Amino acid sequence: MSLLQLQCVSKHFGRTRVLEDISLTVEAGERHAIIGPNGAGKSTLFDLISGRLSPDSGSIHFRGQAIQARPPHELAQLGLARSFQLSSLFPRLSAFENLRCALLRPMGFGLSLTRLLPRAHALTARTEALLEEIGLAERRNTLAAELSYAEQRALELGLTLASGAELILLDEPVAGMSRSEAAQAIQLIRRVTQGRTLLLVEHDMGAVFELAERISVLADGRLIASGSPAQIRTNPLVQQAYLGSAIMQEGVDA
Amino acid sequence: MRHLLPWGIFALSLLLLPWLFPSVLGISILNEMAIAIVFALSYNMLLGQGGMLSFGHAVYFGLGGFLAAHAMLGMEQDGPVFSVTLIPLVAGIGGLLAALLIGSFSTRRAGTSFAMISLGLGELLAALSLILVGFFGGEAGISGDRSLGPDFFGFDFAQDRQVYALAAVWTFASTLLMYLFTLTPAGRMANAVRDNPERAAFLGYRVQRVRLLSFVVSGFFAGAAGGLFALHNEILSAQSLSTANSGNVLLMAYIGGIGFFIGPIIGAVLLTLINSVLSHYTDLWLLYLGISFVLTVMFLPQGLTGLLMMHVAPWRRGLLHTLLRPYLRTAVPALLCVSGLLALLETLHHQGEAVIFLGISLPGGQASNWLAIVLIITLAALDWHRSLPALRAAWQRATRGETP
Repeated sequence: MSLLQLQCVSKHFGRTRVLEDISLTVEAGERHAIIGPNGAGKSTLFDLISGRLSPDSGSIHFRGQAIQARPPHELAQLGLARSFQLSSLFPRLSAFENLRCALLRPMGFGLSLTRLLPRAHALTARTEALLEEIGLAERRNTLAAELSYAEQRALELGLTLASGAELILLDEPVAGMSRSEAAQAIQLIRRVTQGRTLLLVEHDMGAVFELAERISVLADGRLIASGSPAQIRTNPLVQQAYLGSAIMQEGVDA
Repeated sequence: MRHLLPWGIFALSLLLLPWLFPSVLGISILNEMAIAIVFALSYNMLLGQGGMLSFGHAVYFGLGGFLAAHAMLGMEQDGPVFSVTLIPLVAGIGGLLAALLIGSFSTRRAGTSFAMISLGLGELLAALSLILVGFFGGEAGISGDRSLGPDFFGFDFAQDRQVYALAAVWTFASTLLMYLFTLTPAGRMANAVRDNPERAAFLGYRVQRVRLLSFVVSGFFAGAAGGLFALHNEILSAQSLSTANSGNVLLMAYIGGIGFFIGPIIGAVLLTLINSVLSHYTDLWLLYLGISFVLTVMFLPQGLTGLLMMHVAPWRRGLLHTLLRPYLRTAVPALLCVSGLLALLETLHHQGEAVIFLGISLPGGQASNWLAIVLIITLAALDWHRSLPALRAAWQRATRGETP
């Protein structure tokens, strides 16, 4: 059984067809990227999988359970975590507090009224370690709102990876980063998603070909191809979808 | 050890203040302060920590108070049942249950819809209090005698002093518990939901449950404050439930500073003083209170505590003293200007009558007087304005750590 399975999923916004008849499977342990030109419906697809939106028709199964009508917090509890294309942080909390919030549930603190955070030493240690891992140890006490763009992206990634979820959805994790920052972020994603399942939307073809074992291509709301990086590179439909765009060329060079 | 210091100071103040102000009025004001502290802290649990703007927090305060009044009334009729020291607990549980009931639907969303529901329910309950005469006592309210409970180690709570002792213990314990709440996972997630409910949901939290938990805890302490209020006054009327009372607690929290735990305490102390002291001196005190609130919102969004905290950086650099002279330079014309404005307002208010202002008798109704006042205001304002660039420069030097 596949970890994630989409069957004939469609989504319309008013009269605009955003996604049409998408069927897609993601196997456990796989690193799967979704690419496609702007406006192809990639972000909408993510919103459907993570429960931010629900599909007009079709079904989505995660670990064999139908999830297409479930709210985000239930999906998170089932083991699905996502990041956001525009960083979605807790702006008035420090970097440290942001990560600690993300670690509370996975470490079994939930909404406890009887445990005191300053005494939760294991939690603090985990938070510090994660802070170190995403390269924000020196910005520990800075409010999320005051971090630089790249630091906010790193924290966004940290919030998503903290959950220890089985399926991790990353929405353009390296968008807007410099080459070296992106390389670092890719290393981090590789390391932290070891043994987990990764589904990724990304424009940066370098990142896609470095991270993904399988690639699906969305164009104009339809899934036009799915396969290994080598198959995708040579797929004529994909080349046609990207006609006139240099992105694919960059990917081939990478 | 260092973080225990503020608690020591707090306990010591609660202990020593009745010796400094032993008059009947003094003890009464201290009682009101203690009650206001608990109420304002419970309010800030919603506004500052949870991002829920409530216009109806007096509902929980008032319901707790009425429950306490009924408990006292019950002891009057059926004899002592339980110690009077537990009345705030009973009132707190009342507030908690009411918050559970109302919060179960009002906390679904924060923001405007939460604010509107709280306002509507506040008005609803204020109206109900005049209809359900059995529970709320109508216009007269419910009165009870606090001294009829069983003796508590020789305390019968007939005197205000003894009630103050009880209020002080409850206030200290409530403040400590509300502070500890901010250190629990539930308290931290309340901050997270305040900042970004969607992200909190994607971390696996049911956002409404997080809000409801804060709401219920807040309702408990608001109810307990209402219980203390009932013990202090021995009478409870619909006024405790009113929107005016809800507005008052909002002012306390906001003027004190909603971004700091201590903010509402400062606000509660200050506003209680203003309410009880300033109202002796002028009829216009509500106007002044309103103006201070508007000025706080416009110029000090972090409240008075925020203003104090701004000075931590220059103090750490050892440059606080460099601000003294520019502050004085600005304060003199500013005070003159504000005094002039107050004098103008007071003489306008008492049309034709003489006004005693700062010990000076101002005969009313004379155009020459007003002209003189307006002249003073104008000159002071101009000088105030002229002093500002120097103050700004001194502030920048002090905060950036450059010595002049």
